[in-house]
Amino acid sequence: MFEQYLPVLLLIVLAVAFGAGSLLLTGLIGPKRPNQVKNSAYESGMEPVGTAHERYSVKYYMVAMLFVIFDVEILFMYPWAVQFRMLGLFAFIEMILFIGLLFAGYYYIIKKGVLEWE
Amino acid sequence: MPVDYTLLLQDTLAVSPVLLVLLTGIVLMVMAAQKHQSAALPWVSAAGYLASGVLLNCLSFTDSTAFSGMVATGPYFLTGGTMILGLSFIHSLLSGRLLEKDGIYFGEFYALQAFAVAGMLMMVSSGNLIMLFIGIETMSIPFYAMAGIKRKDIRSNESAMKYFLIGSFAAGFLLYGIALIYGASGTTSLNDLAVWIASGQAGTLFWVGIGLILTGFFFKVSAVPFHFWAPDVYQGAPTVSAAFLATGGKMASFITLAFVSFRLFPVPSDKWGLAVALAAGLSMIIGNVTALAQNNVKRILGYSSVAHAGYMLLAVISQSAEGYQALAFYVFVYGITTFAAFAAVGLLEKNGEPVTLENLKGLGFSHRLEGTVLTIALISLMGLPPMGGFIGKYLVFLNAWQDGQAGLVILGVLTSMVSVGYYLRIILALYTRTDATEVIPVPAGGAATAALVLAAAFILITGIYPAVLTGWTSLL
Repeated sequence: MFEQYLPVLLLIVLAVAFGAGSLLLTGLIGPKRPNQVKNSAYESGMEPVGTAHERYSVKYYMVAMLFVIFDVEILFMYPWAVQFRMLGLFAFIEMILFIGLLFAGYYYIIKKGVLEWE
Repeated sequence: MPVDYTLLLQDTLAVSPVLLVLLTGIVLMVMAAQKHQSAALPWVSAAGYLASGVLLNCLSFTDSTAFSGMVATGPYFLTGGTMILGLSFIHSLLSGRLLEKDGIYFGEFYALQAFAVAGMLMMVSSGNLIMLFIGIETMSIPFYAMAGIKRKDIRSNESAMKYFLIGSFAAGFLLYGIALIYGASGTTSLNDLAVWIASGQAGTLFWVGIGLILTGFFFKVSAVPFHFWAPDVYQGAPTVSAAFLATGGKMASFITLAFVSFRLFPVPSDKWGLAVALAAGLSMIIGNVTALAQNNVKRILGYSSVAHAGYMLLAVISQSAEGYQALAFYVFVYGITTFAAFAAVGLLEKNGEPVTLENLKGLGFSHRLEGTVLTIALISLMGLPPMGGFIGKYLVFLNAWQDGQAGLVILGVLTSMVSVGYYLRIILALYTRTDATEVIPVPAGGAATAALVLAAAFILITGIYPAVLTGWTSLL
């Protein structure tokens, strides 16, 4: 019964081989010209300052959650908008319900003063 | 794309009790956003649970499915849902008082509770392992927040953190089990799985998956050896939350376990029975013996919940209709009883001090109602007549005896005697006169009194006239 899992095993082996192989090969045959900038940690092009183990304001997490609300919304709305004509009235009502639910969450988060940033 | 509106309407109607509770939760959330502690919040949630319970009992409860088999509407949904909603109703009568006493001014408590109740209802109505998982998570995530709702209290934080870590761990087991079962059988639907098992194709992979799912359930019902979190969480969480985590979660988990067992193994399976029997025996011994050594009343109730998980698992071993009926009776009575105990302890609690036996001394005289209710609840937990706990234990033991589990029944009776020891210590403390001038905690208010009286009446009535419940659990 385990034969049917052979493709999964093959995929795992290939994935590991590709990852390890690329690292190994670049290390072996790539040219090495290190300098100070190249050796520093990559921080989206910014100059890295200080330690990463800092405490962030809880507001960042709140904004992140607010972002998730809109992210999920757009995730569902985009395919719905593309197929709007085919899906018809039923999907429209469903989407209104969905947006209504998200709006309740949005209302809550606004009332809690998440966007007030003194 | 044509939509079958009749079918959609039928399906929506079938899950309408769940939708009603969810709607209540959203209304509560919006209300809490407008004003932190509105007096209307507990009444809105009580009304929501009551309406949902009435709606559930108005629907027909023939064994059928909705949403292409994802939802199973039937006697388990009716029985499980009614007990969960009944408990939530009584709890919301009391919670205003306890929250105020504990100094918790977050109206969100009610919204979180409503979402947890919706999750429980999803659990008891799941016809598919994926729905089961979603239900368990919808219940658990608000639970973590409820355990930690006393934000500035370090014990409450610890309790929430422990609960969250252990809970996620359990969810991992459950999900891995579901994945393995899907790998073995190609389906997650309980009905299809039953057909597949009956065809005799179940191999090692499937049984490993079943083992992992059982592990997940044992975590949720706090059965040994997965019980370590329960006493810590119940001790640290504010009493108002503990009263709900320890009772509602157990009701939903046990009814769901019974339903999964009922669906998957119409022909009793030895392997399933053996795993459950092992956990049952260990829970009875370890829960009862460890409780003897505790001094904190909430910890005692935590270990008592481990012990009672053992008794309840006893009813699952036989995998018979009588067993599930006994379990439903037991878990309903146990839930209300433990709720009554936690509620009384919460009202007797002095703010900021742990509820040790020493701190309870003499409070039975100054607080007659709370003392009486706590005594009734503890006698019921011991399993003595004329309380509902006695009938529950009798039914469970009878079923296990008829199934030929004589050893476990004897163990159950012996450990019940052990349990009398630690329950009596609480009653003894309540009625020991002290000279110390007590700072007397606030007496109970109107709705809280009603909740206590309702719970005590339930325990007595089910003990004296058990037919009110057995007539109804016999639907299973």
